Amino acid sequence: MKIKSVFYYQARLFCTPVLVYFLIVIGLYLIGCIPAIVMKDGAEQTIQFSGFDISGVIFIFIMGLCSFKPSFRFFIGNSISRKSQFWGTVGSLIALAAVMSLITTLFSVFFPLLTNYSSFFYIIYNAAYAGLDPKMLYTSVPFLLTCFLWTFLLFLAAAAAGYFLTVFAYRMSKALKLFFFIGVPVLFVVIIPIIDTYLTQMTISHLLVKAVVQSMGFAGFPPNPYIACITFTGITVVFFVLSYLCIRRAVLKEG
Amino acid sequence: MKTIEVKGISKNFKDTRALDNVTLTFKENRIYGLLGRNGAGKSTLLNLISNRLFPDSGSICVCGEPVMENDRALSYLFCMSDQDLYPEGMRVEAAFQWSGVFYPDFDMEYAKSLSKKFGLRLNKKIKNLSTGYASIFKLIVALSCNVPFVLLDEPVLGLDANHRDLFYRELLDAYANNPRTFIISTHLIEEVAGIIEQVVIIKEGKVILNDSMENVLSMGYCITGPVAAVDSYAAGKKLLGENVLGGLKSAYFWGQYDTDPLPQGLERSSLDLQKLFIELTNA
Amino acid sequence: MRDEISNAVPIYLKVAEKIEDAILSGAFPEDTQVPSTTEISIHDKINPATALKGVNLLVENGVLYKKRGVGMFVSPGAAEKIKQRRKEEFSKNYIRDLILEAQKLSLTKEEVISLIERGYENENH
Repeated sequence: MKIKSVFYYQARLFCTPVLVYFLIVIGLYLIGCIPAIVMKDGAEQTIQFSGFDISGVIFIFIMGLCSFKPSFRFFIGNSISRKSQFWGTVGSLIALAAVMSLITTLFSVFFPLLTNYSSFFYIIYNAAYAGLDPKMLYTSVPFLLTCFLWTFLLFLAAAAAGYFLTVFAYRMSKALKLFFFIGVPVLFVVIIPIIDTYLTQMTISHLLVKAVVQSMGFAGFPPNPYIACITFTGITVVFFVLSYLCIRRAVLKEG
Repeated sequence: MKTIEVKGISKNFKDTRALDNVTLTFKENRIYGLLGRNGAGKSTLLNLISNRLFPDSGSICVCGEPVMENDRALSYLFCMSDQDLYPEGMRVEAAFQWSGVFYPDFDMEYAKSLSKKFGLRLNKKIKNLSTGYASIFKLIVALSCNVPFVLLDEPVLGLDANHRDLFYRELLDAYANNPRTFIISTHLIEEVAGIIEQVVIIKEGKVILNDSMENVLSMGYCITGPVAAVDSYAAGKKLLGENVLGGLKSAYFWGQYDTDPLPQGLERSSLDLQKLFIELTNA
Repeated sequence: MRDEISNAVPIYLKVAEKIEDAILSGAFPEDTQVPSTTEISIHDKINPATALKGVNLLVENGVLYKKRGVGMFVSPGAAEKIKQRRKEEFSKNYIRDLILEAQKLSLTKEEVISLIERGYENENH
């Protein structure tokens, strides 16, 4: 019953940062357009402004990171159960991902008007739309819908990852925190490459790369963005489930 | 029935037993004093009641419903403690507004009028408040949210004498206008002795006393006189403690005192709540 | 053998005593309303239930009467009632302590009486 209040609070928290983020993006875009407008005739614009929307992934990941600890103390102090905190926050992250992906998709419609622009989605999956005129794509509703869905699920997965990391870190003792946050990167950056180079003839790296490629829908040709959507959804669910398990027994700590 | 039922609650922290099989009932519309030495378990008990910690065993029900992770049961209480739980950058007025969102019966006008009385500026950032004013801010929220159970953990921490006086009067005023239960956990025993009706004393995680103020005060007394005379008087009675100054001894007893005349040389005097508390909780 | 348990007078009795003193001094005239238990509780920083107990005691003694929906009022003749009751208790409250203390100091009855007489003479000057 307190889920709505939690949602409202978290959503309010996101408002200003999101506004600032998009103003910066639009601002940079407009600055990037100046040369294009100045050199109106002649050669195609050389300013590459494509794919910046990937910064949205980082931004929403950080929003996910920020949506637990300070709010947890505030909600607990106002007698709100962890269950309501979880669902309210998940709801607010879903809303955030939806709003951000909507605006990002709209960029795909409006940005090309002034300069050459391709969304990150198009950069990855343009092979799937090879037969179509790029300029027409941006008014093609099926393309935009797929772009929106893919972007939304990617953003949501990033938010879920951020949220999970911060709840997980809150529950971990200092020793365990060190173990995970240093251990996991070390595993991937040092241990696996070493094992691969000397023992398994790069099979592990091969398999990992293959897994990533396939989960993004590049198993066959043309690439299938919907596979990636399923992958992102799976990642989101896993992270949110793990977050719930962590938050269930989170206690109010000193200070 | 509007009560808080604590049944068989135990809580351990690493190697310390903070609460040991505690069973208590807090009834509606009463002012309780929750007393205990540092580390006795008072804050732990209040944190368990307000779902901030989880018990190792036992259950806590508020208005008949288990409190753990239960928004409805939790909506019946507000817990004020010395921890700062408000987000970085939040100002007093905004905090009041959010309290109104989380507590539908929160009285904003009352909160503002109390802020004026205490001299709390509404536009100040909570993290910039002094210890005293941070307590005052939290007190005002506690008094304004109009829930049946208000838990106050060291409410007057850092408050000067004038503000403490004002607080007790405002609490009584709020209690009279809108009866509810206050559970006050404090070290300033003499100050609250006048306003509390029911005394709960916790010692080393166990409840050693849970009775009305009247009964408690009538059960403690002090006998002073020559050492030998006091010692023979003490036979068969429950001795809480004693104090010797040369040949003069003061002994503190617990029990219904008989109105029989005292033996030669002995004098009887009363024990106020603080003296009684000290004798009951000395090791 | 002095019994000092009297300094453990329960708060509600102190409340009753205070109101009686105010009636005797004229601060609360007869047939006027006395402060509500809420006002008393806030003024003295005591629990309202305690204040109520003190007020109810005075109602029982006939010193105060309740007007439904309005509040507590001083009974007609309350001052006299109070004086009468205190006269009866004068012996218990003051005389007994006087005698006990005198015995402690080994004063004879005659010495005590002459001290009392001297005390009156000083008062009249």
